Amino acid sequence: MPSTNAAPSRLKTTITGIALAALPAILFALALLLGRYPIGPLDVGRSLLSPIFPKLGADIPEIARRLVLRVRLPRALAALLIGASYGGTGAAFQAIFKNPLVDSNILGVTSGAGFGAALALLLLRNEWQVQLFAFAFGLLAVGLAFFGSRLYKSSPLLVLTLMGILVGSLFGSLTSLLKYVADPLDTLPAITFWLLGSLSSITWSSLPVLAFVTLLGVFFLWLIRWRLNILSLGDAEARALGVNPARSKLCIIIVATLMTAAAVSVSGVIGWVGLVIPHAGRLLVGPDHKRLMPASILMGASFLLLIDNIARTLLPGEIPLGVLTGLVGVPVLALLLRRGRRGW
Amino acid sequence: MKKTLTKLPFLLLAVILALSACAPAATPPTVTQDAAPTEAATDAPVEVIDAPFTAQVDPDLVEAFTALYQAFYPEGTPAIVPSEADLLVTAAAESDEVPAAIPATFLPGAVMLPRSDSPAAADFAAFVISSDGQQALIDAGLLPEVSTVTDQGGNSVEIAQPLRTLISTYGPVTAMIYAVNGEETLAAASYLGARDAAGAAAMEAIDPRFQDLIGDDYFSQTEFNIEEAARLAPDLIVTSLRTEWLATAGELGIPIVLYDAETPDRLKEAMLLTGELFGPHATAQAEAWVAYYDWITKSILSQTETIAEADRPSVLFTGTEPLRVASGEMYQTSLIEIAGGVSASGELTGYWNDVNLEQIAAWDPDVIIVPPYGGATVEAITENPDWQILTAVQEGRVYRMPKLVVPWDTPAPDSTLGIIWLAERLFPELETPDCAEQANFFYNTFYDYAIPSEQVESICAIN
Amino acid sequence: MTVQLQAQHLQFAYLPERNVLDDVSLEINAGETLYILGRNGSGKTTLLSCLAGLITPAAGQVLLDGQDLLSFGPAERARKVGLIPQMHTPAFSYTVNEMVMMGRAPYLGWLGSPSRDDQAIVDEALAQLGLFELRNRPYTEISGGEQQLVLIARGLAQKCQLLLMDEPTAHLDLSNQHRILEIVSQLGDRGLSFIISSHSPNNALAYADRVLLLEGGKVTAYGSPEETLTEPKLSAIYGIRTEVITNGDGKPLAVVTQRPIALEPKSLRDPHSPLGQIFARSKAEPQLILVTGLSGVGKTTWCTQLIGLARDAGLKVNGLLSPSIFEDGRKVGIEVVDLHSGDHRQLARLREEGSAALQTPRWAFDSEAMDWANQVLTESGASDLTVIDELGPLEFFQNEGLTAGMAKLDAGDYKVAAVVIRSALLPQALSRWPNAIIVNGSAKTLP
Repeated sequence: MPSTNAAPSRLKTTITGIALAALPAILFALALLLGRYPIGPLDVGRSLLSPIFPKLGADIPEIARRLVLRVRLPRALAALLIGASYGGTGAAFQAIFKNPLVDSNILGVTSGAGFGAALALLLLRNEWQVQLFAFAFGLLAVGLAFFGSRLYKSSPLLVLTLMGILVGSLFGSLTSLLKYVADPLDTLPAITFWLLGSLSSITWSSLPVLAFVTLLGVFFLWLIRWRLNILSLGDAEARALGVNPARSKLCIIIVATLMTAAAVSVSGVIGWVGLVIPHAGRLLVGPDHKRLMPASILMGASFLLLIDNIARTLLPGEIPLGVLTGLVGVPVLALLLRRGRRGW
Repeated sequence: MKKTLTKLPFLLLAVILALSACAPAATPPTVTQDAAPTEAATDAPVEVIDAPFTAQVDPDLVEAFTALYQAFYPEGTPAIVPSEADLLVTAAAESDEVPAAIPATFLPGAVMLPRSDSPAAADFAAFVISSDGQQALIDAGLLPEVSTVTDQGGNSVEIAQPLRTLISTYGPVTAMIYAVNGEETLAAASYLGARDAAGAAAMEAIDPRFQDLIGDDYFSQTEFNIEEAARLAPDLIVTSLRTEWLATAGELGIPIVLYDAETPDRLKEAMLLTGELFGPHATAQAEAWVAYYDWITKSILSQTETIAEADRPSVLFTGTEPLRVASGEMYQTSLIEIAGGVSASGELTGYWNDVNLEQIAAWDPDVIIVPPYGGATVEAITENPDWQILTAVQEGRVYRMPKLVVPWDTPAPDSTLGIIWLAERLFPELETPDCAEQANFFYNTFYDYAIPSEQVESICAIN
Repeated sequence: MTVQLQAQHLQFAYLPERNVLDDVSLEINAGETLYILGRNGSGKTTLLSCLAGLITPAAGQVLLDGQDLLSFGPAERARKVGLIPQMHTPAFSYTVNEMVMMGRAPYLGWLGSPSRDDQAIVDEALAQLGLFELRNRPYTEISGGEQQLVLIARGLAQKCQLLLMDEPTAHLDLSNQHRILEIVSQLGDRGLSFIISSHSPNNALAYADRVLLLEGGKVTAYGSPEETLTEPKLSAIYGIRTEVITNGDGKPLAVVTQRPIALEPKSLRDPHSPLGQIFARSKAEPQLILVTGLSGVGKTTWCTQLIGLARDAGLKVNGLLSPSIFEDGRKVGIEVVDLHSGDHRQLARLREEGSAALQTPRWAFDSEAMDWANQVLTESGASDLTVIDELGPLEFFQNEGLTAGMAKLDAGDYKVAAVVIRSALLPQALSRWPNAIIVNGSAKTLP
């Protein structure tokens, strides 16, 4: 049995690790170099250094300097952070729900955030208020699902999943209601634009909250990564191994929800990444979360950078991210499944 | 001074219209009470010695005139005089140069022109273009009982004349109906641009029935309440070709006319189609609008045709979001081209396109136009630090398209003003038609609305 | 030897008033192996969870090394007691090495990851159980026996002194069972203690130092295998007749189950036949025959034949027989006959609204006839054969119906009693009268 018995050799593990770490860096560099507005690599480099060495930026056209520093850089950083966030939370949720078919949206955070954003667009129309509402309603949805599930005593995980689906549907319907009452010429396009998910309106002002929440969250997920193995065995076994599963899960749900809400509130709804990246990660490094968590974080970041690079450069019009995540992600995953091992 | 020549015909037109349409109602002299003339005639069959007004009638129009006269004064005999009459009944003047005046056009090519301030003559002129007047001509066999039109979906639709009740489920077409004087037939309508407070107030000033007519909850491109439609029992439903409920509404057996006016030519066609629905007078009104559109195009072209392609300003038309732009296939692009500009995003296809700032920087437009709907504001662009890299923002050339009710960038009658306004913004140094002047003329002529001058000024002012 | 774990009067209920554990006490010394036997649903898994500290008993306490288990933190407790749950497939296919590594969880902080030292401990545990070569194989792809060994290795990596195993040999073939239990036994010799829940009395006989029999959450026996794994005790908790096979020295070797014996009523004529023997033994002590079988196999007919033959042999017969009343070929009622006097009454009739098409029609009992029948049983004098047809759920669960018959059997007030009972009620009957003889009531026509 060549494939299953082969111990992942130290060399192979190291190579995979270096590749996974290098990929986001390469794609990040590409994100700064590529764009619809032609800027030479040297100019990009000098633009990046110009805040520190103003002399370097002296002979670069102002428009190029601004595009690199104020448009490409924050957008690439956002893609990196949001991708890492989706990858990491997806892996964590799949572990604690013992189910490889969920992502951090299972408890309705995206539906809640979508509703919050739609509500703010309908009533207030201010960018930071939309973000605030999206964030708050994302948390509210998960809170409802979580405390709703406490009403039932049996099989907490199943009830929690069910409540998540219920709350998600509820907020989905409420969003549809808002879309129904929204002015088709006025508010509706804004709501639709937001719900489709896009990184095109990212600016530096979107970043501080996103970066703060995501970096702390990713660090937490990285720390707790090995413990996810134990949580994925189920509550009884985890307790027998001296782990308090309820407390650990609550912490993870809170952190992942904060991260997802922060991501959704700046980018709108980008599906698919959190669900599929952990699968790809498992095929590359195996199911042990000690390696899988960093792999999912890095692969999520790489994937979203790749997708966004395509989305913003291929055509004059932005290609919706949701379209590309599927179009690019499915063949990549199929390829990995073909060469990968069996089981999750 | 610079525009005196061009504006003269319109002032004249406006005066004539004001006389024919806005003259105060008065009772014919034979009637002793304040009642409708027909009633009075039956109640008190007084021998008429003096006709209420005198008319000078072209010989070939005597039959039609008599039929109309007897419908209005059942017992009366018209006083036809060879000259110096209160009312002139004659063939419409033909002219390519200027838009025709729009007097009461009771038969194709035949008009009634009040020649004195006789209130009875004015009332009669208003009667001949009303549904009842049309009915009299149909009874006399002078107008067809059924009008057959080909709509913009290519369907041939038979419409019983005169048209008395109508539902419009598409805002631009509702505007066209107002522009051809057909709004009295509306039983319910979807309006464009009348949701915001200012738009609603203006619409109410234009038509006091507006609040009763607005039917957005029942009728729109996506919504069609068949029960409510049946209750209103319209003779005709007009809507967009891109309507989702056509099959359902077809069950009512009421004729449906479809519109698809996304280019200037299609828009002109749509206006003429709207005229055809109602009859000779509405057709004359529609033809006047088409002539007006052509005149504007010609006036601007005469100023801009010498400008080389490369020197034409590049104009970006953004949508409800700053990063959403109009494609080359949209009416807004035609608007920009007629006004003498080049659409920055003309290479795009389809409907609105989402783009990124970098793409806009690559286009680097000279002028950015934001629409007067969807919460779009000039400030969202000019006050965004990242947009400062654009020439248009640096030069302060970001403008919001105006509107009174209907946004001036949509394929509706009001877009004539959109062209004028845009040309003024693009070429302030050239002698293109004046926005305020033309807005005044347009709303008076096509909406019968005496727009207050301060409103005109605020609309046309640079924002 | 020191007492390692002691449970005192444990009580636990998932629902109020429905005790899953009721006054359970036990103790285990270092290096001992305790087996917990009991039927499905008797509370074995709940007891293990209580002992591992996963659930808190409603009453009573568990002492670990003399200290209340609840006073330990989860990690501290897991360093002392390990629990190997019933086997299930994890959601993700961790390797053997990763599975065993999870045993190090109690030694790593909340946010910790295993170190080189942990890997060394895992390697040792793997080597000890001969799993080292399998360490990179996915856990989900190895055999059931190997999976069980992996879980034991995890317990070793956990470095605890007491391992609780929930049905470790379920689903394993004979060879794998043997392999696992031998390893457990050898680990026991090195001082590790085990509490094992099991369905196999034979494994308990072979490997247990002590055995605890659990029924309905109550301890019915606790002690050495020889004391606890006796025929009546096993019969009582499993509800079947069992036989303990011993070697020459009387040391029990194996427990086998017995099928209901086939007794032909006509063999009564032969004093050396099993039936003849029963009547012979009845002179010394009462003999209870439970006549069983599915509905309609002829249990009443079997009794009628026995009664006839007994009377022919001059034996005195009393008790009750309840033949069915048929009308147009369908059973419409039940009669009760006093075997002593020959009097009979209608005991039950088909309920009016009940559909006769039902397999088990519902019967409306006549309370006067029932009182009369109970009086017959109470007042019947001495006899050689007492027949009661039949004792059912009414008598066992609701304490109604032929209560006098139950009292008579409980009191041992008979010589030979033949009692008709349906198969489903055998566990209840055997736990009440462990020495009863179970007879297959399929009647054959007499020659």
